[in-house]
Amino acid sequence: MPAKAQPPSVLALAAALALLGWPLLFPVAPLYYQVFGMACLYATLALAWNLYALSGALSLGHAAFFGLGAYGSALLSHYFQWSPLLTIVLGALASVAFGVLWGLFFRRLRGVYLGLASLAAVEIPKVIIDNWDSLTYGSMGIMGLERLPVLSLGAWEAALGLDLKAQYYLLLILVLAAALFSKLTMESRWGWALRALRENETAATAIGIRANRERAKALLGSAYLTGVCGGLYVHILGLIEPALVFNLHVSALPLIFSLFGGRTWFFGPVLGALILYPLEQLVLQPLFPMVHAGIYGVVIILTILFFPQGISVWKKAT
Amino acid sequence: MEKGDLKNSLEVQRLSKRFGEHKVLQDISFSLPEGEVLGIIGPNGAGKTTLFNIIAGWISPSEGKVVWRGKDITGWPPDRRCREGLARTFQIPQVFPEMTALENVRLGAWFGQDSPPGESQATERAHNLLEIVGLTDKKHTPARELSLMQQRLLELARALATEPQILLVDEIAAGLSLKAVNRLTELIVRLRGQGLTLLLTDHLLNLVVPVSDRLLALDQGKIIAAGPPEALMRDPRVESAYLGTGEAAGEEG
Repeated sequence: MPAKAQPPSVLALAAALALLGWPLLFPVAPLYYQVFGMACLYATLALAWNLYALSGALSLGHAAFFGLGAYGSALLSHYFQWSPLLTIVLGALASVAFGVLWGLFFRRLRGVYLGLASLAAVEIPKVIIDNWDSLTYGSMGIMGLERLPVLSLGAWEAALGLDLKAQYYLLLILVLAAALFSKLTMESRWGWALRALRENETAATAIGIRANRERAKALLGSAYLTGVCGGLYVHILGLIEPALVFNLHVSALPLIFSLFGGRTWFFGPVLGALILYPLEQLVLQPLFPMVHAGIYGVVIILTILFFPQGISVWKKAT
Repeated sequence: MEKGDLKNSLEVQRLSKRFGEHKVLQDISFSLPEGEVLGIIGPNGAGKTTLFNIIAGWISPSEGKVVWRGKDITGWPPDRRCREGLARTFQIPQVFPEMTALENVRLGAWFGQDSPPGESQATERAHNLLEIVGLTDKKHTPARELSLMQQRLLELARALATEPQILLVDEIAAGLSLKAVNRLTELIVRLRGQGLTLLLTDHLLNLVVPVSDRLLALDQGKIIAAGPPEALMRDPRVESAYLGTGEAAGEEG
């Protein structure tokens, strides 16, 4: 038994079933497909961010991985006309390459110093891409990126680019797979090594855990998955520009969703994204069109003050 | 590399450490044969903890070597030393605060070797070790809720779970009551009886003296005396180092 009271996995399963099933009841609800699809994408992003955070490293610079994955995919798609599904998978390797540099240069940084360095690190790829006009079209970006393709299997067809319901299911499957991976990771020997590093790196080193190696694996896995999210994002929108993907918002949201939902429960980051993003988009935006995004600031302050472990483990805090 | 005539032992060869101008350790050499218990004593600031940390791999020496079973391990990081059989504990206990006592010890069993045991085997070993150190009833308590004494015992169990050939124990009695120290002494005597090689440091003598085969007295970064505990305790140099009077204090002058 873990020391902290965590919700049972059956709750996550129930949430997954609800997410799979509700479109059957509401066959025509494009806005909801779109918003919940995006919530699934952000939930995947939060899981990716949290994989690195499991080792105790709180990054404020995941927009770098997001943007590089997005540009990697967009450029491959633009210059070679490969299918976006292929370019997304390959393009995210650019994020991994940046992750290697990150790992080398930030190896010794911890806590707030790592946070500040990672925040600044986003500027490096952004400035390069912003100015390399001949390759990336600079700050103008690329319009008319190829949309996600139509998948067909016999009579069955899923237009991932145009049919919002099909797109929603694609993103839902992605987040459920990522959540399952996260659960298996946290229960594995490697997951325990990450937890040990998070709780006490000195003690972890003293009992033989290879701190740098285990953390680097988490970083690179996190970078790759974040890059995939970036690629999906720009092919869903159909356009890319540096300010869109190398954006503080992109770094902050996964952190907010993870802290709110709970970082130590595998489904916590998903829960955070699935509650907060739709709340912001569907409830607050119509009510307060100018300041709806302010919810994130308010939520993060309230979370830190009242549920420092996140809402999924809040009972323990009382 | 020097020949290692005592194959299965730790050898410290001409170790020195400077922090800037300050010489913390000067030309320290000794060896620790298998199965022996060596106590390093000395007043606060004598360099015990620095020496200890160099042997455990947390600080690198300015000069000299640490040789372990004939291999020069001076450049090895601490996690590798642990996996190869040198485990340590800390003066201020370093536990995984949110994990239970059982989980803490199990991690030692799980990561302390290059060929790790399976999860159930690691758990079983953790149960046994908690029993040995007397923490069975705290099995499911998070480590942060344990007392100082209990955290020391937990750390000891976790270090033993890595199956060390030599255990380095830093100031285990610091801050504990006499009763607690007596309990620890008993435990260490028991471990010694099982053939474990031990290196202990302490500035208080109640624990180190009764359990050590040999003592090494440090003062101001140098070895001032070495030998069996009874002889060393009567050594005037040791006495003056502890009391801070007489020749030892005058020498540095």
